[in-house]
Amino acid sequence: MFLNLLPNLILIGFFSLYFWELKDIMNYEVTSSAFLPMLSVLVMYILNIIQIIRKLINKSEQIKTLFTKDDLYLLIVLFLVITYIWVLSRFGFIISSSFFIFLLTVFWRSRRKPIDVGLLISSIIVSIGFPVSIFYFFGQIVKINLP
Amino acid sequence: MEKFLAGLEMILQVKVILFLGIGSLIGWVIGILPGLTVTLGVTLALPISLFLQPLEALALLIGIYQSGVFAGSISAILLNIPGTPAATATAIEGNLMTRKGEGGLAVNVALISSVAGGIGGAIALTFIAPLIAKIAVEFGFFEITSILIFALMGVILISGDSIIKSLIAASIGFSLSTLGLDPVSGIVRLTFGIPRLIAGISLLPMLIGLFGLSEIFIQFTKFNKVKIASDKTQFPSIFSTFKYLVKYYKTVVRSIFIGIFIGALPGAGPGTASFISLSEAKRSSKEPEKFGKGAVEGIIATETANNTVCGSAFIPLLTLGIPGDVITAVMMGALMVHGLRPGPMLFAKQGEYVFGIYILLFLSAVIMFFFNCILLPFAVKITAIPSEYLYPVLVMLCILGTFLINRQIFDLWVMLVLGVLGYFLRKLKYPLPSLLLAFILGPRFEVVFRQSLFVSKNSFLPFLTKPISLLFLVLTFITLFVVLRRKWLEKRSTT
Repeated sequence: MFLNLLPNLILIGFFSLYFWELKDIMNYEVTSSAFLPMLSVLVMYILNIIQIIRKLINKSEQIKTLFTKDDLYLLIVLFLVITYIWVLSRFGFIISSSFFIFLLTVFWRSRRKPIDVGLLISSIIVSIGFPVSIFYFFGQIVKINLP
Repeated sequence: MEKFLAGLEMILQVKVILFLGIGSLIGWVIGILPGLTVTLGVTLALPISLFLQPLEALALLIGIYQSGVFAGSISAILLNIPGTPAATATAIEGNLMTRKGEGGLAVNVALISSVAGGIGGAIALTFIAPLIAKIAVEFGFFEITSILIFALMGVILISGDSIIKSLIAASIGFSLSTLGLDPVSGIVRLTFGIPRLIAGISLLPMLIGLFGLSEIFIQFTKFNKVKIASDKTQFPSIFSTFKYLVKYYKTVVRSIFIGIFIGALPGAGPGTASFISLSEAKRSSKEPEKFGKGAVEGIIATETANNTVCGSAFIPLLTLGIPGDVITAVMMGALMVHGLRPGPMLFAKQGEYVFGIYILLFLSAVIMFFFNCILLPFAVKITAIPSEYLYPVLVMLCILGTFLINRQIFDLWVMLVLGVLGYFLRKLKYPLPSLLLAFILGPRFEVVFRQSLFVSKNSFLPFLTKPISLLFLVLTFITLFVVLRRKWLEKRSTT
């Protein structure tokens, strides 16, 4: 039950934070900077409360699979993307992109089939070839230097 | 006439035609590949378009759009997997023809219908847009506010299955648009202690995160197993297919009109147009018994209508500055980064670009035809591109594209956060078009709404006393009533 209500509770939480941020410019005049954001918070509260009530009353409204095993795969992908962004400015485009594409390709493939030498070789070719050609394209043709 | 000639001169340059061709090719590949949408294609191409001249950029994006909408029908017909959501209706009759061994013919029919629709949409835009722009020049704050309310409500009501979810998505979009400087008073608000948020969230990281990265995340977790079509599909001569266009000319004309009307409505896209067109074709056909068994007329109806939308969707964008769907929102972003502000004044101040867009739409339909005459036999092979190489490269392109905009790592974090948000919103079936349109139209709405009230000294009465403003408010209520009634009837019939 808690999992089903979680999206609405998260949204209410975020919008409470958003409302809290308005405290310095709080003004109830229609033409003020705070009016429409406040209206948006009010709309969000009302809509989410309606959804919570509907989920509590009507079982068909419940989402049975909010988090699945597939979301764990997403966590790994996210970890790789975060690392890639972090590494990009430090090690440059070619090195960071090559590692990123290689790891993601192997991870993606490993979910379907066992990893073999052929895959490793083709992954290495793609993961080095693609970033190098992009780097060359931007540097030489579009005249934009990548990090 | 002067502006038309100036537009023609700008278009008829090697680089513009070259980018139109490149765009058509990219759109073709993206459209064929199941799982990749035209929205993803234009979103990924947007950062590259920043480094091009305005019409070169538009040529690239229009090429992807028009060609992608058609190419989605290839995998829909041959594999029964619509390459794009717009091709879902085409899969119904198209795949039945493939099962009868007429897949090649079905794809050819889809091609010539798409070309007819593309040209129809371009002609409609050419004649209708200037008329609306002439009227729209006279609109003041009150009228624009009411039009924006109508457009936003249209998107909210039409997108997705649940109006509540659509409203929540729109509220999130609007709230995100309020971060940073207040567009009216200049007061800094809602920065959450992050100095970089003073300038607000840029449109491009938002687009790439919500419509690029989140879509790829979905594909990662979906574990798509793509069927490979038979390499033995025979494509008959394209010219022998023209007889169907002549035979079903009434369906072509009707579908073009449906495409024009639906495309000009905010929120409804090519997918809606093709479904309505299919049901209308079936209803008024002389051979209704052929529908459901692989009817050529069905493919003509769906493909003509969805490609007409490619042109007619520009009508609200160019005349009122209101994007009707996600793709025209991306186009709006491309126009704005090049200093072209969509709206009635664009016709007066930079009319040559408007004519340029008309010509580009027309040319892209023609190029699409000749391209496919050569490329169609290779279409089946495209579906065999291994996804394990494709998606990692696409993630890299999302990151690279976002980085290129301002060369700021902060934009990458924004894109990533919005990508994760988009992933969960998609999974929970919150419509992203509502979020995006509210994000784009939000600041403009806030400015005109507050300026209206400054002018009227906080009175709402002028919204009801000005005829155009009243008209759009009434239209909003009528739309609301019709949609709510339809949902109520649907609910009643299921219970």
